[in-house]
Amino acid sequence: MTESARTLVARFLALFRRPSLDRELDAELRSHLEMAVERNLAQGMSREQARRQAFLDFGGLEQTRQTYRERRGLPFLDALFQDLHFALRMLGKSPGFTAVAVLTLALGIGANTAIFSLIDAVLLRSLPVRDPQQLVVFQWTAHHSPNTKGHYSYMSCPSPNASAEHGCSLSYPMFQQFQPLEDEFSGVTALCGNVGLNLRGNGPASFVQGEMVSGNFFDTLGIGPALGRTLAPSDDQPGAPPVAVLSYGYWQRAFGGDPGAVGRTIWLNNAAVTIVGVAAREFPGLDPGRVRPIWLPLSLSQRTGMDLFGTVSGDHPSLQAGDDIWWVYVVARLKEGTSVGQAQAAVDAIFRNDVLDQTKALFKTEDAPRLVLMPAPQAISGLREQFSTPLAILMTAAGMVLLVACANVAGLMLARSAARQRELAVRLALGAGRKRIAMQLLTESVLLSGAGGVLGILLAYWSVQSLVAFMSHGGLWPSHLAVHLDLRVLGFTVAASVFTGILFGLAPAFRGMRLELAPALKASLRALGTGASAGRWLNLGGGLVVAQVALAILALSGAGLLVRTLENLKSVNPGFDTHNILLFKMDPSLNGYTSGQALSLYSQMLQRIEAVPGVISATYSFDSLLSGNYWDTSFQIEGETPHTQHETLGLAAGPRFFETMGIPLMVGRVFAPKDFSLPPDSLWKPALINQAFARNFFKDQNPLGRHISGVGHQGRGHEIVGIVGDTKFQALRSEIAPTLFVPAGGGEAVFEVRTAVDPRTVTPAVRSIVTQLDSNLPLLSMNTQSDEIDRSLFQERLIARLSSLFGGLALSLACVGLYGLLSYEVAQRTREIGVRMALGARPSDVLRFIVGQGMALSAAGAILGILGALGVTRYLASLLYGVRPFDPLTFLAVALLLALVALAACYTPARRASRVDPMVALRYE
Amino acid sequence: MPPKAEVLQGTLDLLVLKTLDTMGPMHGFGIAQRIQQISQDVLRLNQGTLYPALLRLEQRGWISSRWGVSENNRSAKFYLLTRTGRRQLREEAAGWNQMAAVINRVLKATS
Repeated sequence: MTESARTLVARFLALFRRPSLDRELDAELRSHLEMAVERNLAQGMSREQARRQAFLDFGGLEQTRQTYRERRGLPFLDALFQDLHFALRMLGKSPGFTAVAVLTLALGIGANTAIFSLIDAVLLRSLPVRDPQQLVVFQWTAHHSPNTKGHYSYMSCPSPNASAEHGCSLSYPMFQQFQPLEDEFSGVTALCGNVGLNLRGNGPASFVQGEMVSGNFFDTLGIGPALGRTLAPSDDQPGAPPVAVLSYGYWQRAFGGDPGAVGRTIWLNNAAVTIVGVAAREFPGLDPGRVRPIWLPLSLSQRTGMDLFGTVSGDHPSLQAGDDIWWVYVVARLKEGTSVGQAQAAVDAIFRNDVLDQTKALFKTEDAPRLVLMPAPQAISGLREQFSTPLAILMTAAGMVLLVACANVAGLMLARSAARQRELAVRLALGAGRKRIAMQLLTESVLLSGAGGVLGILLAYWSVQSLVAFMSHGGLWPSHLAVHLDLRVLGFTVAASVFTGILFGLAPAFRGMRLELAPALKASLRALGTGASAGRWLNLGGGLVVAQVALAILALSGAGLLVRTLENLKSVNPGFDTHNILLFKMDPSLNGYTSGQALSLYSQMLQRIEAVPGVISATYSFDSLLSGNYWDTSFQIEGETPHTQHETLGLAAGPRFFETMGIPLMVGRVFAPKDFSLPPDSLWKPALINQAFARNFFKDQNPLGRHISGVGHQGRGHEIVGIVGDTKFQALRSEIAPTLFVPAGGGEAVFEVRTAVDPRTVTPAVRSIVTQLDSNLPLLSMNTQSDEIDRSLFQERLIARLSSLFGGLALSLACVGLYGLLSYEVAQRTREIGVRMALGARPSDVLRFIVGQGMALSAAGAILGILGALGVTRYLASLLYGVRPFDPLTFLAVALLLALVALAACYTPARRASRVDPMVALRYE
Repeated sequence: MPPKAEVLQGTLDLLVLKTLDTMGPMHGFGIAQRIQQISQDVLRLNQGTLYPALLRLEQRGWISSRWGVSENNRSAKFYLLTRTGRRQLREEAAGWNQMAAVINRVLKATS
């Protein structure tokens, strides 16, 4: 060990035994002096002289001690330790202040870090592929839609500009023309999604949604296997054995992570397929917002005769579909060194050549069709679309909480600094260095912010966990999407609050520098209570409180509007009885059922389900009401001149649908059993309409017996046999719209079971009925109607709750600030109050005076806040329902709430002031 | 009598080491006495400055200390030279002699 290192160690160790070392030094010096005195006595001096001489010889005793101490430890650390010790003591002396400041900071830091971490997970994380910036998505734009027979949109496709028609689906033949472009791309791949698969061979039959991809999909994206292999181009060739690749999450969930899953054969829609691998764990799918359980080669359905799209429509996508069915989403990886512009010129030329071909006539020249290459990170939005608005609102609210928190801490620090003015003056007078005092105050602020930060991290961690748990529970958060505490954000919020703490914590030091010692000491509390420096503080402190109240009002107004929206949505009458309905879905056509077979299965199911005790009636329909799904169709009214196309929502409904759902029949009749077994070629099938349909299209004429035609893909004709009550169709938010009900065929169906008991109690019976009829048929999405509605309102509930939480938080913090300000003022003005009372002021006058002051500050803040809210709440408009952004009632309620809370915050200090005893106050020094 | 010379910065260490070398373990007061005695009171030593110097030497590992009892039965802290201290003394003494010789030569040459 070198000497300097040895010295450093010795000095460092000395830091920890300061008291004992101090004692030792004192003992040593004492023994030295005593020996000196003894010697002097021996030399014949008087006792007094001997002492004097000993001290003279020694030199400055205190100086020696000081030099010795400085040399002994590490002066910087030593001072720091002292400061920390002192800071802890000072903070411990005012536990109320410390607790409020630390909690305030923790809330601000915690809330922001949690929300920003969610935002990071949803909005900012990059696509889970290699070099995402090299990937491009093919998108067409034109003035009009193409003249296709089918356009199946699958993934997100953000509009390049608002006016143009656009889409990201292309025909398979067109995709094939892009594949040979080897100069521009290192790979061009196609995918098509949401194919429904009834899966068996792995426990009970289940339903999964797969994605069909071309053979080079994984290679182009740069995704390797976690186990086995991914798909290869050879898997997508004619004659290749049928294979599938699982996603990591699905493999874990459905196969328990069993490595033996690779090589196993499963049955997908009755076709045997071998699992060849599991995709890399980081890859839940190209779009991180949509998890894919399973990938199949694009050509698989062709080769195995697997029916992927059920029997819903005639023109479903397949490799045989021609130029007029657009169904594949095309993604390509730019070749190294090729610019987007070069590649786009090449693909655009091919595209225009193809779509403007006279024989195909997909577009006209004046439609100006173009093919655009969009960078994949922009095109594939992930969860952005779904979450950006609510998260932006929550972010704003959390940001406001942080601002209020900072203002609050600033106010607290200021109040404290004013109160400590005298202490600092005393310390300066005793010779403390100004730098040393500044360091000391700094230590205190940093300690406070540091404690807030640590607590904030804990809070953030906890809130992220519980938020994600809450959102996953509501089905809003994809379970694979991990959220990590964002360190950058944490750093930022901690820095912001530490900075505030330091800035305002140092205020007394700055003021201390300017401090005239004598007057400050002389004036003491008297001058501080009424004098200039307190006046300045009150202005600044008052300003901070006004700002806090304004921010709180702003946050609360937003929250109030969102809460009212939720209440409105909850109390909406959807037009049918939503209680005690069990819903589940099935699609036997995926298992190869013909329409007729499915119909007979359904009627057997209804018969048996209605026999279950507790079940009142049962029916089925193509979609369930309020599910968000809808079918709309054009039609013409026979006998109407001129012949015009109308648009309506449509629903294929089963037997006893209206009775089961509780939708009243207004006039005519509902469907009879025979309506479901009419021959396919019967001319005018019966149909029902709702009142909105009648109002809209028939005005004052009688719709009963009228014929409509051109309904749906097949352009069927229907005779109107009845009118039923209006219901909400798509969602609670949507307007009542004209709706046409036709007899359901044998496609996929949602069953609705009306019960007299809790619908959940009949689920086992329903399941066993289906299993008895065909054990290979999976039931999906078994749920009750009211839970379904709850779930559809989940996002509204989430933002209403969280924004109220943040608003409430902001309000409480603002009121703490107000309380602090007034308490401080009352404490400082005790003497003045005493004088006033001695001169005849009554306690009630004092009470009124203090409360008035608090209320004036709150009113100023409230006015500012409401003005701000008027400017800002219109950004919420798209989220509101049944309430306008400038809803006076909400603003009034918020202002009233503020007045109540502010009154409570003022009351305690005011009461304290009114109880001042003049005699005590005048002697108070 | 010429005015008393202040102890030069850095030379105090040498004096302390040499004192401990010749006298064996000593307490602070003894060291101060001894230095003043040897210098025949030419050097003026602020006794208080001795203690930071002792601390510095101890931190560097050249001397060590322990509590003991003085000749008149008083408890005192005794300092003694360590092995590295002795080596350091030799080096510093040699350096000092060399420097003194050089300065002497220079002074003689110019006078």
